[in-house]
Amino acid sequence: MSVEMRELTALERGTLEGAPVLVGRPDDRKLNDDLFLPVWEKTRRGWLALFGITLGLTGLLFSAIAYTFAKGIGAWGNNIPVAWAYDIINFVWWIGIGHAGTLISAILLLFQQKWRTSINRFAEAMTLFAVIQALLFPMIHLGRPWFFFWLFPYPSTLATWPNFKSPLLWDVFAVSTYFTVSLLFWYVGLLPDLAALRDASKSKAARIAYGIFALGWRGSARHWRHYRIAYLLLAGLATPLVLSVHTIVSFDFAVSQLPGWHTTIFPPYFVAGAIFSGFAMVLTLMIPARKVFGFEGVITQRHLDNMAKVMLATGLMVSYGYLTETFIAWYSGDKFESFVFFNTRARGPYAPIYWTMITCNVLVPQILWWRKARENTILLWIVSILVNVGMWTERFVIIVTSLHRDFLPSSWAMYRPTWVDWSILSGTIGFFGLLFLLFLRFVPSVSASEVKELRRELEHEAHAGAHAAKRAAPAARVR
Amino acid sequence: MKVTRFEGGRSTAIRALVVAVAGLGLTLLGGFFDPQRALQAYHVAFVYWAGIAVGALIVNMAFQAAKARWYVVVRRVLETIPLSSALFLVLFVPVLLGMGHLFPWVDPSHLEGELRRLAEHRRPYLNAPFFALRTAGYFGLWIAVSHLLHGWSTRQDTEGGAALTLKQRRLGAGALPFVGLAMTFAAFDWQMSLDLHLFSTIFGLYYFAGSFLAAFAVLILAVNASRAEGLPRALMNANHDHSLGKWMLAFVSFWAYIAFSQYLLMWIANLPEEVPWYLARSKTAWLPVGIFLAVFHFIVPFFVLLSRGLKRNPRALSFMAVWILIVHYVDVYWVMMPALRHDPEHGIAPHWTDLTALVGVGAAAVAFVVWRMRGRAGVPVGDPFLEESLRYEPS
Amino acid sequence: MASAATWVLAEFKDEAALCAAARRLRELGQQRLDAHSPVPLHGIDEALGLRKSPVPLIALIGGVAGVAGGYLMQWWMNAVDFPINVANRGFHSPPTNIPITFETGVLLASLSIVFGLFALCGFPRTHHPVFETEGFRTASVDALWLSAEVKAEDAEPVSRELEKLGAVQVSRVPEGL
Repeated sequence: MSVEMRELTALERGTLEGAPVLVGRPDDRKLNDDLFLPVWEKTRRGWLALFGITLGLTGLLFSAIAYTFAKGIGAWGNNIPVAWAYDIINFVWWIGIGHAGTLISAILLLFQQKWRTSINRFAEAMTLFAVIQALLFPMIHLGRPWFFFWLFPYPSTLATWPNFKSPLLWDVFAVSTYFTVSLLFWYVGLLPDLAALRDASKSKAARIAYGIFALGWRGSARHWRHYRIAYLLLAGLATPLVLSVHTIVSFDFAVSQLPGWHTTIFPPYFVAGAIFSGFAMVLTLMIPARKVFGFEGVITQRHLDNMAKVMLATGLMVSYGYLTETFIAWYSGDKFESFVFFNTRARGPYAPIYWTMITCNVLVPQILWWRKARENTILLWIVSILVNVGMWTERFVIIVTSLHRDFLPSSWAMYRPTWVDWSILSGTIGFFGLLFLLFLRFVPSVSASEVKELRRELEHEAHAGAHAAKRAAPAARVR
Repeated sequence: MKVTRFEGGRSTAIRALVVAVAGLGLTLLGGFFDPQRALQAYHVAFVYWAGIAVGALIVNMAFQAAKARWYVVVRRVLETIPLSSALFLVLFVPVLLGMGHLFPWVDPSHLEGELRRLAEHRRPYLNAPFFALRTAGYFGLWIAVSHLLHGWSTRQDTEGGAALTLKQRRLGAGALPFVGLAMTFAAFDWQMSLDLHLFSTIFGLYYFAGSFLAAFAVLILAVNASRAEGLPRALMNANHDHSLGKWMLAFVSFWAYIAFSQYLLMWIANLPEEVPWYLARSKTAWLPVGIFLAVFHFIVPFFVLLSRGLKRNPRALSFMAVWILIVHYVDVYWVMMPALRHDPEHGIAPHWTDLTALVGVGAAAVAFVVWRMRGRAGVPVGDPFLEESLRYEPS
Repeated sequence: MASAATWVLAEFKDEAALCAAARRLRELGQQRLDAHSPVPLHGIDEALGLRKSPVPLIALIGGVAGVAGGYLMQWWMNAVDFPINVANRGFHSPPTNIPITFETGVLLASLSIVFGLFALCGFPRTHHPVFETEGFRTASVDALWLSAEVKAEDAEPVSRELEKLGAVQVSRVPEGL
């Protein structure tokens, strides 16, 4: 006895496939014109207003940093035992946000996910700007930041070498490698679009400027041949790199013996948290940008839906981390470990922050199980902002609550951020926004060359599908 | 295109059943001479094979949740493997009966000092009735989910339509957190609680990583076992092999990542309450086994699996799958045996029941799965994406 | 290189015609051909007779150098040249060397890929004769172009051949313009 293979009706296909990754089949010229419009059009008033605000915050950032340099680290709320506070919280928060870009670009490329195409440029740019913010913090926390180069192994007159057994030095290597590779990956991805900008530009100045950055790209078959494999290999390398960076950040804490820091789940749990916050930040930025620039045809409901699902999945992984940590804190029978989880965090002076974390990271994302919630753009935007807040509080909980009450009650102390801490935090948000606005203005935020390729692939697929259906038809009749 | 129902495999199932009876019988025989040692061998074999069945379930659920299409051609095999969780529930009975010989916490009065304090502290969680109840719960969940997924998929063979696909996807996504938690706590119960010194939050992921990898190895061997018409192999192309190989590569790396993270963090913190677990494996005759794992569970397979040509060659990939199954057993053995035997300094001392138990439990699972494959289409013919899966050709 | 070369540029409407034209010109003995397109084309490598890219090999060499160099650096600096005992982790401490070894491996592999790509493509290059034809600028937007670097005397017959092969427009750029 045999069974017949079935064909899918158009209606069923619609139910199973969800929204398209590309609305309609715009031709190359139209894609070029639409996607490059934000670069060519006149500066918008809204852009200028936002630029002014973020410029102001950037000014605040650098003033606060200057004040810190003049006054010393004492300008911050840090104390003993809370020697790490806003500096490291913000560092981990920003570096976490900086994980989604390369993840979207690299891992989704390896997984052959078509929805990657129109959001990767955007996410990668976000990565770079977030990593820049992250890099600021350890630098200004150095005490004597003008000696930052002591961190690198160079033959110096001091005749010493850095201590490679310290996770803080691993961090230096991990974060600088991550920034370099992300920048290269982003730039290599930009080349074809920079060439298209050069060739489509109307003014001589723009042609020269984009021409320099396009490096002489002619879309030659020889270029493409090396380019495609180079891009794929970079993705293959970037994938474990992304995981390694937040793993090493987690080692900063986990190699210690401090209750609340020393636990083996930290590496994967930090990575999941990073992706969680990174996707949240991409959504926070993308939802308004796609509306303003009218990119709904290339960044479709499908993209938002998939990103919401990744956020839900990584949020569940973070919750898994909280759960195993709490369970093992009890299971271990270690009094200090249990004290951190059941007393300091859940009921201590910072309990409201802990419960904010649980609400934003564990409870709020559960709403994304419902399709209606994922389809509601405003709701999704609010969820993404709450997740950003939640992930910031998570780092606060990990760092400050673990430090402020350690083994000896006599050395307990409270931590309160000063106005300098707040200025630096809000300043980095402004600086991040500033860089992002510049990106939106001068670089195409959706990769035109990749969307062109995507359209060809979709056409090819539809063609192959129709062809296969035709082949199957006679067999169905003979039965 | 027509696909015949799979009616073969009869002789394979019977042969596997004979091997299973022989293996389990010999293990039982060994139990008359050395009950403790035979039981230890059996428990290791049980944890090894049950993990693979649950690993296969998680693979299918994750792929359903992600709406993966390429794997539809091999999905029937992947759906059938986890049905063996019903068999593993039965096979758990000897562990339950002999738990007094396996787990130190069953009777804390034997213990002294710190170990006794730990066993008494954990009493609300680690006690015989609750342990049995939990394991029953894990299996209840795994059996329910695997049967629902398999049932909907086979129903779709005749009914077709989109609704059954939607059901599978929803259950795949929705039950995944619970199935994952069940596996984590199974790892805590079956493996971690063997050594009261060990409390590692990553431990559930460690069991998952190895089992997930081994599940891909079993899947590769299962689809390559027969070229009979109507079974996936006859319909697959090199791109499917390539993807399966890539998943093995990814999880070889993931396993190494998890194993290294756990090792580094415990080694570097060097806390007296948690480092004994690694001391028992590094300052003893077990050290070469740990080094063996680093080399043959990670470095060698990683570089071998990087090769594109190898991943696209079913024979070579099957060889690597066998390799992975062997090193994964060594891994499970290395995790459990030093803790089970309490005498790591006396050396590895393998026992012949290790082999009979491993083969016996494995053959029973093979017989069960082959038997469950029979009488149905060997590929999910009603799946709307089967046709697309057959054309799988990533650009 | 011949002193007086001419670049013949021909625009094509579809991929198949472009590949066919490339094959035909190669049959006629023209070897210095290239295709230009906004997206990578299927089958063009074969039509132009291009071999496999050496980028993976470059990446492998860079990666191995990074891994070996990173590990040796840590070993030499912390165990040989300036031995330092931190928390009794040992002067030569393999587990703590792994993270940086991984990072240097990835860094060097990535740098080799990108700079290898630049070297293979001859980047950066500020000018190229093909840009003398204003119409060629569509190659990065929506058009497919074939370029042939030919001897000055061949320019005329090659142009005619390309027109026969279905080129939408053909133009010529003398070298050294």
